[in-house]
Amino acid sequence: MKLNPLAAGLATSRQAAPFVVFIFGVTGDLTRNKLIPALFSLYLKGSISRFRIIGFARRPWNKEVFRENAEKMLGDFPDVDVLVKRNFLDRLDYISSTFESEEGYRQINGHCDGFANRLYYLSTPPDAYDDIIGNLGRLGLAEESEGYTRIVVEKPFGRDLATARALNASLAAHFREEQIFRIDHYLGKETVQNIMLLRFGNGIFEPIWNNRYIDHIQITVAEKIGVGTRANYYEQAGTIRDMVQNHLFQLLSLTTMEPPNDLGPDTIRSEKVKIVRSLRPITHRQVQTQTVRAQYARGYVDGEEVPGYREEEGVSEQSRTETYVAMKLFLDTWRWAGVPIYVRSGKRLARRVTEISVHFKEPPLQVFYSSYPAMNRNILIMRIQPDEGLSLNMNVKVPGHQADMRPVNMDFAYGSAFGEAVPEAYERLLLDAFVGDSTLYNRRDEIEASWTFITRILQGWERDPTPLASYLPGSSGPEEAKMMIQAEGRRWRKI
Amino acid sequence: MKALFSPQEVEQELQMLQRELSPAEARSALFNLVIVSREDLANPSEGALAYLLGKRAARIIQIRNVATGQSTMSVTARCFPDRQNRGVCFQEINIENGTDSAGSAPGTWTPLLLRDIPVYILWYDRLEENREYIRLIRDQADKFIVDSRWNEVIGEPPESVCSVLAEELLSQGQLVSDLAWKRALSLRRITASLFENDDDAIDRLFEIEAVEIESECEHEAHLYGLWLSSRLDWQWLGRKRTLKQTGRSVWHALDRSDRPVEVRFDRCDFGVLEEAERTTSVRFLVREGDPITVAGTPGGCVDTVVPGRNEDRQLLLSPRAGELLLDEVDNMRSDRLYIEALSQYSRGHDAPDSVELGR
Repeated sequence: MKLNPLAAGLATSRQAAPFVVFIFGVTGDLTRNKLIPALFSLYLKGSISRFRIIGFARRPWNKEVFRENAEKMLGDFPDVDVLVKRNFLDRLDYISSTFESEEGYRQINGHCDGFANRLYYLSTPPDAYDDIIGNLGRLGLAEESEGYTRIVVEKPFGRDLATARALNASLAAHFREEQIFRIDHYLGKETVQNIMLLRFGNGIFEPIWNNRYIDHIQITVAEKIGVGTRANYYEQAGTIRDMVQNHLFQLLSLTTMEPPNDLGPDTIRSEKVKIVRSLRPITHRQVQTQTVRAQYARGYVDGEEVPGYREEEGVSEQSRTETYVAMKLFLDTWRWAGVPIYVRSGKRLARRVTEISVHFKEPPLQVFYSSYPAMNRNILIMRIQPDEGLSLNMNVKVPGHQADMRPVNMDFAYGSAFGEAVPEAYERLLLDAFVGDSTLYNRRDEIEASWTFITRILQGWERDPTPLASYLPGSSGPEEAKMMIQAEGRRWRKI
Repeated sequence: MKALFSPQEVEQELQMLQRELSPAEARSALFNLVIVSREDLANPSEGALAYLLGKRAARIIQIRNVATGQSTMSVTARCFPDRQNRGVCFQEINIENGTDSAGSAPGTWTPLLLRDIPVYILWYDRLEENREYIRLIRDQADKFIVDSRWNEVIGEPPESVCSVLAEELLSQGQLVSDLAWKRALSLRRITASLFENDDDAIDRLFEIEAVEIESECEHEAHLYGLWLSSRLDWQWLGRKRTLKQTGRSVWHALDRSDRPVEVRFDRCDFGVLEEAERTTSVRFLVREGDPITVAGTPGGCVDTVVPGRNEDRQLLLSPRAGELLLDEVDNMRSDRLYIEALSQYSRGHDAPDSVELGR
């Protein structure tokens, strides 16, 4: 193929080559709320221009019904010209088929309309994955000839190490690893990506980003809502599978990974997987001292009475599914040896907060009097949501003749500095999949490494007959979690 | 001699205005934006600033060149609350630069620049006539931004704009941007896509004998021609002729086989059409075979025709000036392709065969 001189330097690496995307489970919420709006936004920005979108689902729709429904999904774009919307919708088509039957899959090549690149997006419940992957493979639809063939798989990637390995094996039977994009939408968030920018784009952090200067790290992913209508899923998952194994570990690895040599997808992902592999295993016995799991009890949120977890519709009265997890982790690396990393995640907590706080050690010799030792520690807080931004907690002199000091915040609010809303995570991630950039997607070894660590804890919990702790809605979690961190002279940041 | 104003008093007044408009708290300014314009242009920056308001806090110094009287100065502020109810404000210093030239003198406004944040100069005036002044102020700017669409409005030919930018700013290593160049990014991308993964089409690129552009802006067509010239290794010779009656401009170049190539521009009058409807059409005439075309259609789309391929319809983006300016103030860089295109004006050109400038 000859080089196109006009393409050089046009930033076309962020512009998708012509493609067809097949969305399996297109009639679901994800397509309505995220995928179609994200694709339309990419279209408006010119990031995708020559493409087809083919829905694939059981419902007996046809292309007209799909287009009608898709038009409603564009409700967030009221100012866009109707002709522009029509032009986008004209690219939509639909295959009505079960996931098990080969019939629908046989129509796939006929819908490619001369486009050589294809992407399969699995937006279905995980129990449909095997059928879809198997059928695509058996019918030769995973093969690449003139263009690329890629597959995007939504989480959960298994529910333990064995099931994750089985899913990976099923994918690997038909697709090469470079064709597989395991999506964790958390990585598409601007502020999560900003962690790397902050660490490696500024010279001042890296020299002190180690056990010589950092006392400990806290990572919090707190939600205010309960399980709501997701009880069926949540009963099977619990917080550790729903949040810790994926989102929270992403934050952990981005915060603690070594600087990559370049921004290549495999360079960054290799550094991340090293972190997950360096997590010191928590033995079955240690789950009692290094982990806390709890369920929310009945209580009040915003003045309204809310049920306890076991009273939620769809939840067993004897449920031992955790809605809160706190853990003390260690990374066995030179950089982080001896630095505890406290992580916690839960539902029905005081507020919705996702943040990483890096707590620096006290000055070697504190000459200024302070009655509250923790006040001497500087804290760098990376707020992921809400109010994305950074705060550096520092001590300053209180005006007056005394040498009193008090902490103040140097504050940077991402949203306010840059004003407008940041792009939706799915928009970024979809474009990455179209242009073949897998940096923000999970690699097989990363998934399996995290499940290796988590599965050991799950097995420890299964053998642990101790009743789950409980906590009040609107609180910052169970007392046991406070005691775990306070035993070492530290305290959780307020939620 | 009486000073035009006292910087301390200006600062105090700005702080007071900002406190009134944002009693909770205001965000710190992220950059200085110095806007130079002229009285016969009715607020060319206003649309772009309206788009930026609430998105970026900034200090804005407007220097408006007026034909009469003494220079004057006033201060204003505009704030828009962010999600945390903190004000995202423009602190605005408006200078009317009179015949005494006191208002535009660098010593007048440079003390009002906020230190340690970028300074962008947004220029809406003739460049050729202001070469000396540009030399005086260029060191103050971290980036010099023009929108040459406005230079067309005030009758400055594209060649003047490009040569001043190349000779006075690029040559000094200054960052330079032209919003007119950015505005046509979508057209360049669509053009490039016509030749993507198609060896036959790429071969035709080197057989182009003329490029015909129909649009409303000559400056954008000229930049498009410069882009083709730099990418296809043409030797840009400059303007060949301009026909005032038809509004047609013709530039010429030599391709890499020293064969002549023309870039022809025909002005479209879109009248009352919305911005999104004002599409551009391009035809590549090749030495053998059918032309390759990008034809504007209603709805802000273009139909592309490449011989031997299915016709395709693509969205031609027409970003607003505010979106373009936002990208400029967020990024401390120049577009490498623009610099390469503009650099062709550092080499000097033959005089055009015939020129009849004007609209």
